[in-house]
Amino acid sequence: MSTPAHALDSYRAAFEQRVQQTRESAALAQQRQQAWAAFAATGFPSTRDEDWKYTNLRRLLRRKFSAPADNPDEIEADALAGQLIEMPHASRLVFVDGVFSPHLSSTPSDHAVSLATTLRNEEQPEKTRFDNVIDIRQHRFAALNTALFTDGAVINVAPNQKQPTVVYLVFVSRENGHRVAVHPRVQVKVGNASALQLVEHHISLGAADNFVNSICEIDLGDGARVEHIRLQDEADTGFSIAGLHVRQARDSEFVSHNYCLGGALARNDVVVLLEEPGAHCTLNGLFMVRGSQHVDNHVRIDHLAMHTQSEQNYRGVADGRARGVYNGKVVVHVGADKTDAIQSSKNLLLSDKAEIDTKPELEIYADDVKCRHGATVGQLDADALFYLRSRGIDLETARALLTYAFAEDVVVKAGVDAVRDLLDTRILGLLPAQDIIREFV
Amino acid sequence: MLKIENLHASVDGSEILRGLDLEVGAGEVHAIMGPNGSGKSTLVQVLAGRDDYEVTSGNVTYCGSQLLDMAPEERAREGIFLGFQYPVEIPGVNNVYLLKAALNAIRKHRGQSELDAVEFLGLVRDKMKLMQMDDSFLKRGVNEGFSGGEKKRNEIFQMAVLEPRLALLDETDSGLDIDALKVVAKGVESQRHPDRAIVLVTHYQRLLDYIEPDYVHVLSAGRIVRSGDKSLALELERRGYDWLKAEAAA
Repeated sequence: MSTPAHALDSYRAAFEQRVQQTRESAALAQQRQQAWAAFAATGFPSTRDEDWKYTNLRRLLRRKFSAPADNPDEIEADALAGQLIEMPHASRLVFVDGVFSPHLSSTPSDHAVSLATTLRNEEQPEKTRFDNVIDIRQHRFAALNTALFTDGAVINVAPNQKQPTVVYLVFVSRENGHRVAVHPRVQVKVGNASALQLVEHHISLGAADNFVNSICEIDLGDGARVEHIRLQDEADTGFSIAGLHVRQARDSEFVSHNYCLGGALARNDVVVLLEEPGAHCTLNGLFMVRGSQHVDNHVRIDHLAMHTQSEQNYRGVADGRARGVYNGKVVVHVGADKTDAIQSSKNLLLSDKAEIDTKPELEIYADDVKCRHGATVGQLDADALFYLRSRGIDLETARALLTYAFAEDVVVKAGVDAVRDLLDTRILGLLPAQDIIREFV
Repeated sequence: MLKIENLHASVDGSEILRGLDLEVGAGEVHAIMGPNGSGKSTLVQVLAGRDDYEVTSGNVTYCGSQLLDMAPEERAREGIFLGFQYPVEIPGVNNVYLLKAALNAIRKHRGQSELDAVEFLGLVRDKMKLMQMDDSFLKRGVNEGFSGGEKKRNEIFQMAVLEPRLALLDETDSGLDIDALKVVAKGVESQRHPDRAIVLVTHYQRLLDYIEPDYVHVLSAGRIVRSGDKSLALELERRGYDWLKAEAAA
């Protein structure tokens, strides 16, 4: 089902402006043309698309977004105080409404640089390639991103680095007089046997209701190790569409933690290609939504070689009238024998008006594979609630405590202390009786 | 301390307690025995406030207050402790922090100052020694990965720390080997106190070899059909429950 033409108008205008204004390499210009053509052919997905059946984009498409200013007013570092994660050893790149802010950033090394800067300075324009990992015909928001991105980060980790590289990316969405659409792009390449820890943090200033369509593309070399943490903590007025696309070479290890707390509408696609033997990924996810928030997690893992492993642990909590979706698909391709895949989706409904849809899927075309999956949607355990109350804990605190403990199971998996601390604080902030529960932390 | 009059309670429409009367005074240890399905566990769950059970008639006063009007947490703060037959595993909620929160909830209710971590740990160490529990109990989630015996010891450990006025122990002996039973029984015995009442629910006489009850009651079909002293328990051990059922039906 294609989108009504007028809904694409503002995006088409943005695209035309982009190709006219910038003096980009011919290679990139061609990629943008292809991406736009792929996007425009079908437009935005509708609920008739199998992958979008739980997520209606009406709320997004009704709104008009303009392009952000190229040179936005700078914001003071103080404005972000308390929202940022303390990662003193990381290269920090901060983007305000999609535009790199040098004075808020600190980049002690050249592992991680702003994409706009790279594109301006690049002598060999073909050096940074896009959509290596992404099938833009399948992923239309990724195609839109390729057509329209202006800034983001380029992270290149050379092979055989003894120390892991640590990068902290902050995307600030501001409450503006007018809504903006931004398309941040993160291109990551980690060389053989090197390691990267990448934290992607999405926050708001004020009740921002912008459209952030971000793509992160990660290419892991032989034996490379990447831990990716994405913390979506925007105001619950924002629209966030995010794609994480990963390709893994031999014996590489990819670990992702996707924490989704904010946004009016949030969609997270995680797509992993296990292309060579020994590649291994672990994808953890937690969403906590309330009010009328809607979050949709789509995971797809392709086992393309023998002896590949994948593990998914997703947890969701929905309160109020909120809705959560988890759809995890594992495809074991012909020849990917000895695949080991496990999927777990556990979900908690805190109100009778909240809804969570969970769907683990398996497609197996190989022999001798080990695949398991499990999914639950339930309420707080009545026996546990009574046990806590019988120990003098009041009902509200008992409920909050059990909710917190449920979420913690995924929080503790993050490999950065400061991320866990921030998540603890944020999750406690969403719960009643936080002073009492804090004692249990 | 506790006075139960003509208590009727049902679950999902079927009546389990059918006119139960019982009085328990301070300093007393009562054993409630009876065959499976007689309503033993229902009785203590109702007294602790589990809302799966509907009290259809009857009256329960506890230290002069209407017990059935109180929420489970209020009952706990007023000094009622339920030792669970099947203690619940709660991963992610730390065992010892729960106990500290429980104790402080009770102390606050009594107008006492709350204990800080150091004071609390000092108190806890002695009781852990009593229950032969090692330090790993402090770090684990509530009952998480505990064996059956560890769970029961943990219950009595909690009781020792919380010092209830009325302890309701639901089949605390079930699933224990003899060594674990002795530890649990010793823990309970050590808490006999003139101000404290203990109600032991048990299916077997075995526990009463180690904890001597002042009164033994036999529950059958939701009512107490016979009360006596500890010799009644021995008689039950010898004759089983059928003669009482027959007598009650007659």
